[in-house]
Amino acid sequence: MEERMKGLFTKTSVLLIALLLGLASCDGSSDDIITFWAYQPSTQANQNAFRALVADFTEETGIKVKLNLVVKDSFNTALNSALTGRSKPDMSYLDQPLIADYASDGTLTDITSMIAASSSISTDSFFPAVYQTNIYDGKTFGLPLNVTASVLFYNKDLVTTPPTTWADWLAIKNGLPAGKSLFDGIGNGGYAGWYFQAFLANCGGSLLNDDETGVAFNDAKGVEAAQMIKDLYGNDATSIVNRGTSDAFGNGLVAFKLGSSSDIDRLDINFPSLDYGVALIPSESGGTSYSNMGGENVVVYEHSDLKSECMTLIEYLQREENVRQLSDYTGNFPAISAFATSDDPRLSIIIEQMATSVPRPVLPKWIQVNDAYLGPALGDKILSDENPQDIQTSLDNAAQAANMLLF
Amino acid sequence: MIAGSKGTQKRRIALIGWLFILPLIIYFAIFQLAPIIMSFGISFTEWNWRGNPTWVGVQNYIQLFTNRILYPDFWKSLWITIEYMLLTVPLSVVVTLVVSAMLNSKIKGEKFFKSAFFIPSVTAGVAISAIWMFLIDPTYGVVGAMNRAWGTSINLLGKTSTALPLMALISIWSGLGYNVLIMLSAMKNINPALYEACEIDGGGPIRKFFHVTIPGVMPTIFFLCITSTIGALQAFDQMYLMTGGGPDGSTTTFMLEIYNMVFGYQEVGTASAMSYILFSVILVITIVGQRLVPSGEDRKARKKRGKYEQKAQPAHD
Repeated sequence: MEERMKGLFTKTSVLLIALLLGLASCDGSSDDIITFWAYQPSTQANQNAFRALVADFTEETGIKVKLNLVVKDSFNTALNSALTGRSKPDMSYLDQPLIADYASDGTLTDITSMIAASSSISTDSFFPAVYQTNIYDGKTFGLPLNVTASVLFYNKDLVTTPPTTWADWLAIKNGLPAGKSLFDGIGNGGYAGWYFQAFLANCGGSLLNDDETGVAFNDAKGVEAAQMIKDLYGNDATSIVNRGTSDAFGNGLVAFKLGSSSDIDRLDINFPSLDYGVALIPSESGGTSYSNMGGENVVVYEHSDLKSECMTLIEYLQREENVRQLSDYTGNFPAISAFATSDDPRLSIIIEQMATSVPRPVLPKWIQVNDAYLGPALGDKILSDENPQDIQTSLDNAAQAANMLLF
Repeated sequence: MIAGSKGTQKRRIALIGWLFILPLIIYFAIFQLAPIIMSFGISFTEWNWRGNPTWVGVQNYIQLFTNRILYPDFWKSLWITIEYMLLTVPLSVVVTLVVSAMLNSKIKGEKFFKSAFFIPSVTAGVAISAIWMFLIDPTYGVVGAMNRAWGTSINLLGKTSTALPLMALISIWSGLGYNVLIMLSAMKNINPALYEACEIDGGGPIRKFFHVTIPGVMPTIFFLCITSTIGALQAFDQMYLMTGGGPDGSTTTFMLEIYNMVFGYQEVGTASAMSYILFSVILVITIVGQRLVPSGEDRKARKKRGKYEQKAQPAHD
């Protein structure tokens, strides 16, 4: 009995030690295989198609690729963990506002010279503002892949002609039937900060000052933009209740919402009877309409030994048929303006809007400014239903924190 | 010789014991103890998860406590968490006691009620949040129907005054089944003779409840107080799923703030420091709780129960 127990003890110990050593030595990367992390397409068919696309690249070039598809919602967290550990990717998708953070600490490779040497990539071919999201400290740290912009969704049962000026937009409120309200809102936290940029741009303001030494969202233009959103909100009971309702626009309760390409699919599937249109976001005076933008860039990591192979893969992904395929997976559009086309008039509006979209500041910790200071100043303070606070004071407080963190 | 063989026997038993707990020890050391120690070290660094951590000493702690501009939600989220704890713990224990006492009084359909109360405990937090969000939606669900019928504009999650109490209510409701199960088993262990002795003394249901049941389950009450307190101080998922911390940060608990700090802003050092501050708060509250109820049953409660234990004794002899 004792011998058997001793044997069992020894075997178990050896097994556990072997398991631990095995885990410790487990490494996702290999010397001659590119590890590529990308967003996981939602359907199995698209996941297979993505893998087939990469397999074709290997067949064409002989460069092996290990494709790691990660669900978008947990992508950033998983990527960060991987970069800390040993299973580091050689290249990956990267959300636009993260470029500066990753570039500033040396995680990303400066690909400026590789782009210049490339025969197939022309920086002029991208939507200009989208390309700007990759430039930090004068160097290029990635290339845009997919992009989308916010546009104005309007309920055709409530609005016949979409507005082009802020005054027109506000005036529509007077003609709405009882129980309906004007605007779905800009959300809270990060969303509020992100959408605010569109309003700010449409009245001539910007998030940073001209020499980029401080934030400017608390200047007169910032106050004007915040006031416009506040006016769109209204403080009547119907507006407050409708804003607190899930999918108020889809359910026909509000006349306008801001959204992008992914909302079109969602509304078409979930609210097939909703008659809605898509328009450019109104500007203050009816001039050029501006918007905010979102999308994915593709980057190469500094630790990789396969940088030139990664660049070859990026060139392959940027080919028209390939980048169109990848854009379809996320519901966005190719970042190369000539490839961003659509027969759907609603999608065409988004493409038109992308041409005048403005990028977020490419600064480390901008996400924190957006999510922790600017967004709450708008969503929780200025636009609060219960205790709205003074616009200037709230923006000044957010600006003080932002300047302390950024500069 | 005999002593030697006894010693071998003892060592053998000890070895077998260690063998059985070895997997747990390894698991604990790798996945719990090591991260606890590492995060303590990280709390003294500035680290974004990717590069090398930079040693900053106690700066993270000082900044959190003093810099209201960079960390405007630190104190607010700490207070909200304590407020949430004060809302959930006492009410949760009282409701648990009442429901358990009712189920212990041999009512009809005891099994049905037990199952009904326990269902939320085995339901995923996401499902519970989705159900409640539908129920309290100001346009649809029950609240929506009330708004339509009475012309009101009740928006429970949209108001700073109602969002946190609602979160507390949902938490009490969802944890009730587990608490009742623990409490009920404690109540079943109370000597029935004590109730008989109380009855002989002329005690009614209320007196029996306060003089026999409560003293008898005092260790369980203490256990529930401590576990509920720790649970309340670590509240996260409901707020994350239902409100995202809003409106106006009124449901931003300390754990949610830690989550934002590490996964949103990649301030791993600051988040680790916050974790240790929360750990200290939990430690202090637990020690204070232990001092207040040293053995899980205070002297007064023991005295009350002892009175009936003495009377009940002859019945067993």
